[in-house]
Amino acid sequence: MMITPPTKSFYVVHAQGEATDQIMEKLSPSTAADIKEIIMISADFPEDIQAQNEMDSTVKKLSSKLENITINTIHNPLYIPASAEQIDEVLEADGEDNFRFIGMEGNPFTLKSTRIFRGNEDILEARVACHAFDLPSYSEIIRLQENKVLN
Amino acid sequence: MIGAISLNKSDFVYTATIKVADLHDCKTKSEFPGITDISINSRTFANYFDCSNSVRSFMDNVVNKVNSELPKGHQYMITSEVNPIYTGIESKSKEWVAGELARMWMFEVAQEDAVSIQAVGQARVYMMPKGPGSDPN
Repeated sequence: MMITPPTKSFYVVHAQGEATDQIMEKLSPSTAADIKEIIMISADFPEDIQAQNEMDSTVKKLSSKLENITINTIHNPLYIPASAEQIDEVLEADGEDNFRFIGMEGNPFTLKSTRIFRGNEDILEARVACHAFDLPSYSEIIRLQENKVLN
Repeated sequence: MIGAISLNKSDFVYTATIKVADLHDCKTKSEFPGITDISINSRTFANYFDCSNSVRSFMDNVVNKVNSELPKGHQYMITSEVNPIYTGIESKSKEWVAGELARMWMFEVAQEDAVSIQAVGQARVYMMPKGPGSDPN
């Protein structure tokens, strides 16, 4: 039950604590200790797979020197094949034929999320997202899927 | 005029954004492929001068590194402004927010005398009420 976002994709990286070190090394090593968090925003990519690959590459670089970490990646099954249980919520809007999906912790436009933990500390979060668009209704998704099968 | 502000009763933080994609082609830009903006948030400073020194160092380090990678015709510079409510002097930049003390801009030297500049970097210093968990450093 996947949909194809009609807008461009990008990624955002939010690094905290030690995860900021490799970025600060390239910008201003002498003030690295004064920086609490860094947010990096990518350019828009025409294909979401490009955004995913670029984000994976960035996360790999930033985490390469971090030790004792846990990496957790989830995909939003609205856009990328994944377990349906990963949809955080399915909310009924107005009427039984008009479901709206809210995925990935309230942001329906997040395609993929990678988080790096050290113990309980969340030190890096990276997300691929697409720009907002009108999400189709449940019945519309079903109709699109049926059309694909019939074609 | 900063002395007119109650510096002892406040904590200080700064934010900075470097518009990497808008830099001339240089090594620093290539070190962040596909990235358009890098925004940083500082730790909380209990002392204005430590905060001020840190943000100046950050911006100086960035502009010096980028300039060292570029030909002379494409050099960047930094200018700063203090919130006019503390100086009484009109500033080029507008829309200062509550608690905002100062701004620094990174832009091309060639734009120094322009009415409006296309900044590739900006830093903002804020003060806020001193909290119980203030970092004494």
